Amino acid sequence: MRFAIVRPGRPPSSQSSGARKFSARLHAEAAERYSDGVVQEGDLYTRIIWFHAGGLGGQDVDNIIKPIHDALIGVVYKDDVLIAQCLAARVDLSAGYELKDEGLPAEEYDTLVGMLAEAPQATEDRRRHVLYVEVGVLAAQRVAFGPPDGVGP
Amino acid sequence: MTRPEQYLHAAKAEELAVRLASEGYSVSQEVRVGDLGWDLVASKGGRRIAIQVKLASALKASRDEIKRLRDLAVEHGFDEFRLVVVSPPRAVEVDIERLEAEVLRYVRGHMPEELAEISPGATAADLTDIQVDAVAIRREGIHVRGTGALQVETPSSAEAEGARAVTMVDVCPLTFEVDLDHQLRVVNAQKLEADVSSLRD
Repeated sequence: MRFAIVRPGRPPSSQSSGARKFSARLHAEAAERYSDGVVQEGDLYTRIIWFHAGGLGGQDVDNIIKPIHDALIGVVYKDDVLIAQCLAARVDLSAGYELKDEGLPAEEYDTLVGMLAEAPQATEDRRRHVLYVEVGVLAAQRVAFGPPDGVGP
Repeated sequence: MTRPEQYLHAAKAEELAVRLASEGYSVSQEVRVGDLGWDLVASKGGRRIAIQVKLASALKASRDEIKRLRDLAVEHGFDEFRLVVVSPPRAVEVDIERLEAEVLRYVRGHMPEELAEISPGATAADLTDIQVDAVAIRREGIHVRGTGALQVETPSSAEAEGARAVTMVDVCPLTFEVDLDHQLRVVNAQKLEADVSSLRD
């Protein structure tokens, strides 16, 4: 099984004061949505995509990972040591982008498109950011090289 | 959609078609199914992708349409529906007082060589449609890069021979990179190029 959540809001850096509060909130949202615990055992992957409509504030994409991983402990997995692979990406909504639907259920795709449509026009900073988090089981230990998701220069 | 938006949409669809074709896909444009349609359909080795281009500014109003297009792609057995969102470059408003007049004054004293060569005796009559591409404001002065439409007047050969005076008026694009002082006077041009290709025809 696979866990996925789409939510508005700027993901905080692990060093920021809001990281703990953010983790607690994401934990609660995940628990509410996936009360049975969807991913139990095995090597896991996480895919974290941070869409933003400007106003990065110098925040690095690598620093947003830990608060998200921490938030899902006890809901999606027992321990984040199970995460064997992690992809974190930042997408600037003020530039062009492509959104494939493969691997994303229709309902989540529609929710995501809706939030992405709202973000550039939002005046409130938290609405100008959208976070997508996915966790699943790795079927194999496959190593690939080059740009992720086939996006080359 | 406004004309620039239509252009942006069409340019993106064309760019995608070229890219997918270079990746070995067979690409069809503007594929319609009933009252709906995708901008592109790409197929390769049994894999089919339905692609829709949307302007970022139209995304909110197009949510239902996007959903319908995606559902339609699923219904027709496509392997993937791809939404391509295109954003126009962010517009920045720049207004430099009397820039057109100042660049024109400078051009009059420093006629671009290529123009003088093709139209001997030509004078710069007017400069319009100035577009500023870049501005750098520094303590020592202001550097401006841009383009404009230069109106050039050339006396006809008949006038030179003393016949009835006829003045030819041509327009050619001008690319400039100029330095302004703090009074906004052009004091130097690092680049002043007139595109005379149309005058050669």
